[in-house]
Amino acid sequence: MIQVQIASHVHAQGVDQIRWVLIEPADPADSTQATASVEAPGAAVPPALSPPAASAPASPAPAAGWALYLFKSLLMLAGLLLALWLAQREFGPPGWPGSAPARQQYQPQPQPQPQPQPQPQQPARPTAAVEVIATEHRP
Amino acid sequence: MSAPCAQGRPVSRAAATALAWHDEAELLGVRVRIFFFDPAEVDARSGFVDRQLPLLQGLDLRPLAPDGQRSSYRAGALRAQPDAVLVHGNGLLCLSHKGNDGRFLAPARWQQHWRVDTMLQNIACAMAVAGDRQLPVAALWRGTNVLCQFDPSPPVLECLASHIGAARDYWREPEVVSPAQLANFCEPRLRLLPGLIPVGAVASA
Repeated sequence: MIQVQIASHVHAQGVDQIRWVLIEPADPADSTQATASVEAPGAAVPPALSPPAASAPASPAPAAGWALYLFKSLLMLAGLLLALWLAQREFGPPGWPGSAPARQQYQPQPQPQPQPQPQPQQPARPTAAVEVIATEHRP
Repeated sequence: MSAPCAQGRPVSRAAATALAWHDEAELLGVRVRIFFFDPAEVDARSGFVDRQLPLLQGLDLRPLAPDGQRSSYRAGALRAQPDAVLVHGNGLLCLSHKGNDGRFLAPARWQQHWRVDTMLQNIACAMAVAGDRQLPVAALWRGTNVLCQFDPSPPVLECLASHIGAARDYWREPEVVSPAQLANFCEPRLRLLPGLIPVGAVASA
């Protein structure tokens, strides 16, 4: 543990009223032993907070892992049910051996013949007014 | 503001215990003592101590690092580089003069414009220096027109000291964490601690 002394007061001759606190060493191998000795006799500051490991962002909790597993299972089950429904819709109900008739062969739906498209009617041309002159030919 | 004693003179006990702080308040578990000065007059002074520590002008304060140089101090996984560290009697003074964006703090409303992150950074700086030098350290901050001394309560010290490893993991630092990162990590946790007077409550009181 690293001892830290913070002065509460500053006066003209120096500092006084020292507060003490302990800091973990940088080496993680020593930190496990150091955390347990926070309440050393030299430490005047009582530990008021939980150790840092309690507040550090940790790995996902077991409950979250189970929820993820359940979600994946439900997703797979939904996909399987969708595939079965599509197969039944396309090929009919499944036939069990010995009890059901043979499975129907897939026959594609006949494609509808294309209907002849009606020709678009041409707009009637405006006819010129022709004056009919009746003539009579006589030999 | 006159100095409490002159350089080289013997200082009486009464004068030694009475630095002329202008105001003080408890902000988020930290007792803040503040001294206001005229920056135009103080910044024109020649000596480093007279200019940066106007409340302690005239005292024999010796900087640990040569002028213009900043040293790094490390305590565990906390590494700081304060602006100045000065030997003062039986202890050290850890001085920073960054933060607060150069704003003036009015004597009547300084608590309303207080920056908690600056305060916590300075305390973390002092902790790194104290752990590195194994001496008692006082945390001081010099603003544009103020000089402050921070006296953190035991819960604040414990919070900062016990979250160094968690802050390093949070910021994904491989080796050390800076005072700014530690302060940023600990500030919301300090606000949740029971019994600490938040800054807003003090300012409105």
